[in-house]
Amino acid sequence: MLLAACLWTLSTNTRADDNLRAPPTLTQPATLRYPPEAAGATGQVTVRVTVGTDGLVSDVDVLEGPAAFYDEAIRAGYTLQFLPGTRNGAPVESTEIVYFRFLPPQDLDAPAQQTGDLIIEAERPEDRDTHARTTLGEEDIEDAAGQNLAETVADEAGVTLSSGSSDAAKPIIRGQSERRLLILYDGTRHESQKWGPDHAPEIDLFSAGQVSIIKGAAGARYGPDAIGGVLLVDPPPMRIEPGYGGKALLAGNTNGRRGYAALRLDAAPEQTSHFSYRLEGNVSRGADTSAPDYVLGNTASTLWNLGAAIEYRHGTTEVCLSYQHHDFRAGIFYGTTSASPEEFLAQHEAGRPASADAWVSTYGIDRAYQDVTHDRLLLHTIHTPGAWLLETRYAFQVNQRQEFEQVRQDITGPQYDFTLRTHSLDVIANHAGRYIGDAVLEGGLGLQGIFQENVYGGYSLLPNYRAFGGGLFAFERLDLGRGAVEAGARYDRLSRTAYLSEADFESHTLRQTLDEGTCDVSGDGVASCPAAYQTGSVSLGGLWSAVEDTLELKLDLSSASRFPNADELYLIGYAPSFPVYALGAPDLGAETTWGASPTAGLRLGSIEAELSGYANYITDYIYFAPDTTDSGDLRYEETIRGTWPLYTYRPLDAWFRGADGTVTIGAEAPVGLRLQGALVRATDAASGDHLIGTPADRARATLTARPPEAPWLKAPALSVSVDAVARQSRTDPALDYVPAPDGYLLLGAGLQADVPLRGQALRLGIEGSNLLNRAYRDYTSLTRYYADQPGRDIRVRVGTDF
Amino acid sequence: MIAVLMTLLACSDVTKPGSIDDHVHGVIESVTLTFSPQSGGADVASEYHDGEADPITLAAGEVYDLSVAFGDHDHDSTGEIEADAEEHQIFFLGEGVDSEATGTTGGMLSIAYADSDDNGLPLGLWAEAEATAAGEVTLGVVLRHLPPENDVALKVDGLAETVASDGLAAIGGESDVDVDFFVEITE
Repeated sequence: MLLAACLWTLSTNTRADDNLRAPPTLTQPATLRYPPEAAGATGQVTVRVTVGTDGLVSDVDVLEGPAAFYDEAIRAGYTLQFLPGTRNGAPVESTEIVYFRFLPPQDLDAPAQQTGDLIIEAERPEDRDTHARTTLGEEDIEDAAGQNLAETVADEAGVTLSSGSSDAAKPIIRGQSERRLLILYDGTRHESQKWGPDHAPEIDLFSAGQVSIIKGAAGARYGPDAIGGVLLVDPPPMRIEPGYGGKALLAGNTNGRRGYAALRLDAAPEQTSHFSYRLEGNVSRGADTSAPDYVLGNTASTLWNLGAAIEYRHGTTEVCLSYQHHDFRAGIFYGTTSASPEEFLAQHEAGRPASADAWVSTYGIDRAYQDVTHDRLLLHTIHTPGAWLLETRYAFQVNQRQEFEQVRQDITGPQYDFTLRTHSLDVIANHAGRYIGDAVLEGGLGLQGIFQENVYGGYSLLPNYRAFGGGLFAFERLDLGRGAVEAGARYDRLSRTAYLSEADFESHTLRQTLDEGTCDVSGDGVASCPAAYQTGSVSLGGLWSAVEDTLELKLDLSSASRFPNADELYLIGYAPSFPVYALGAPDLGAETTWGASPTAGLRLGSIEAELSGYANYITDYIYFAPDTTDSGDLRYEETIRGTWPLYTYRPLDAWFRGADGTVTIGAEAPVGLRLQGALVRATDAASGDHLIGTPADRARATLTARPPEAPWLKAPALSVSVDAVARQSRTDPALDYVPAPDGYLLLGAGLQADVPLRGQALRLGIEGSNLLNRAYRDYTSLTRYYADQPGRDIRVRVGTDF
Repeated sequence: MIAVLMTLLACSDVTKPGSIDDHVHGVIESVTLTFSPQSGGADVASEYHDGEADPITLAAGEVYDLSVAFGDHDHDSTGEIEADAEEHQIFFLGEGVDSEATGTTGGMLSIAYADSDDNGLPLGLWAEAEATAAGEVTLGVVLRHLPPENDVALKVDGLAETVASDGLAAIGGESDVDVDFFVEITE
């Protein structure tokens, strides 16, 4: 039997403060034998081992990886030995995720003693990444059951959310909103209408097994839009072990009387051993939510998701076909009427919406409302011929967004109707780790193509467009044992033709926002206006374990670009849900960020800390703000609905600087404390003026008590948290209608425990937010102009795996 | 190859913008005021369109029947307002204008509702306007859309008086039209 060089790795996949037990510590690693049937392939196999109180492995489940390596991974898994995991000092049975990486021997026919080196490394994604990065595991995602993606990731330092005028929210990472974030679902760019304040990402969180939050520019690796950061949402691995399993979740909220139910079924029937199947779905319905002093009328919503997947594995090939449907309907808050600016100010002055007294909380949804669907068909293949890992992903996504405005009764259809169809193809080739002395070089290259069509009908707002884009990238990483360096480069190109109706084209040429010569006008009056963009991005990163297992330092130097969106180029009309008249600028170019971000991680006894700073310079940053005349006066638009302020998109060079960090003391102790905070400073590089819409400074403290277990109550934890958010004092009053809202303090508390039930655990949680029912407004929320944020809410959840 | 692929994937609806605008009728683009002297004589009319309206000249001491009409890009939409009268009300505003929505007296132009919806509440497509004294006024015309919220009607008795005391922001709903006409009243 040939022996192969192997890497094995260990992971604790949860956030420190949720880690109720000390994980097992590996004392005896395994030696992997390279299976000859793998025929020179490279592969990583993920297994879950159950470590008994004696430190021996009692069970090994393969979770993911090429089938050719399963037998060897299971064999090796049983040979691992640990110091058992503990809770409050007492050994307990626990599970760990272990990764085995198989490298083909230098020479397949070489004698057995050529074992190579055994390299031990932490495989937590955040420890390997040169960016500041946090990964939420399945337990963290379950803790958030019933909440949306933005609410879930906003618990991390440096991440906040912006809510619109409906029951929907978008994440903000380091001051950059969704437009400048990239969301990858199962490795595929999530393509949707993400430009409006009410356009929340159409991601089904229940279908995720892991969410990684990468803070900072990551364009070289992930492509355009990754200016503020990247959210990687990955479904849990398909079931490989023959049999059936699944997960069920129920949750409910008091504020809005929301109910949520979710179910996942996984099957790997013995008869069709090469196949795995998954069927999952969830549904949620909520009534109007309430601020402390009044109901937020017409904020009811309904949501359902359905997903199915089938995976085939044979030898070194894996093919997975999946389909997901997302359906969301949400009322637009009654108070967000686009009444005239004078009225807008008058009702803000009044402190509460005009007809608030009449609102009651119901499940009914009135006009105005939005109806959004997103469909994704994904074909994912992994093939490991020899020393390469080839991955391809073809995805077809359709995002339809219909918005129903207040209209006369004889009109039943939507007034804004967008359909975005996207075909994308990603091909990535990773080469196996190669030894250069003691160091291991890993990397690869990739190709990405996208074809996208947008069809819009309704009130004058956006043109149709057809776009074709492509990207080419390469990355390499050199692992030096105590550190690593990474470099990447990428080139992207996008050509897009907008099709403007006769009326819109006339409006633009009359205002001279569009040069007639740049468009072709066809016989039926439709103007086709082509535009092409190209950008390059690079990244250089390093991490160094300055004091082994104690102090880790990271530095990331990255760039990323973003092509202007169609709305930034061609928007013409009343901005949705905001009393301004907005105009696009067709000559905008791509914006590019150049950033540096150092991160320090400390683990010292029971203290764990991470602090990260950043400075990003964005050239041609597309800024949406009030338009001013040469003398600095605000400009207005005379319309039949009154005189409205004119907002435009314009490029400027901007600085985004800041820091965020987390300190955890006693993550596994009976009493633990976690502190986190974030600062963002965004300025116009030329004038030094602060940019509007930047999140205010914030901090959170969480105190967690972990009382002793009882036979009927496992892993109980009780936590109390305080959120402190300062007033955003760094704004230009001339560029906003109303002053920034006051700072606020919010109190939250949570209780969670597992109840053993017939060999399975029933996971229970109860979580209260804004417990003092404080009336407050949030600077990055559109609602702040109209009403208070929702008041007290108690969320209860129960979940189990089977 | 790319060209072939794009041809295969492309859909023709993209190159026909505005092809699904069947449900967006009712965007008001014009407002026409017609003053018909009760004592006989020629009508005085002015249409607001694209940000402009001709000035209106009225004679002091004359009483007029005032009709308000709305149009979108290709047809008269006044009938739609009439059909939804329970969700609409027109307010006459401006300095020197005496109306229920200004709450003032002693101005140069006095306007009173002359029609009502099925609930007996004023609508404003028809009004009686009296030019009481010579001078110049800017007549503001606001068409307010007041759809019910939680099945509770927003259009209730006394809205014009609320506008007079607390402003438009106090009554809810949205302004579909908010325009000004220049009116000159001659001796």
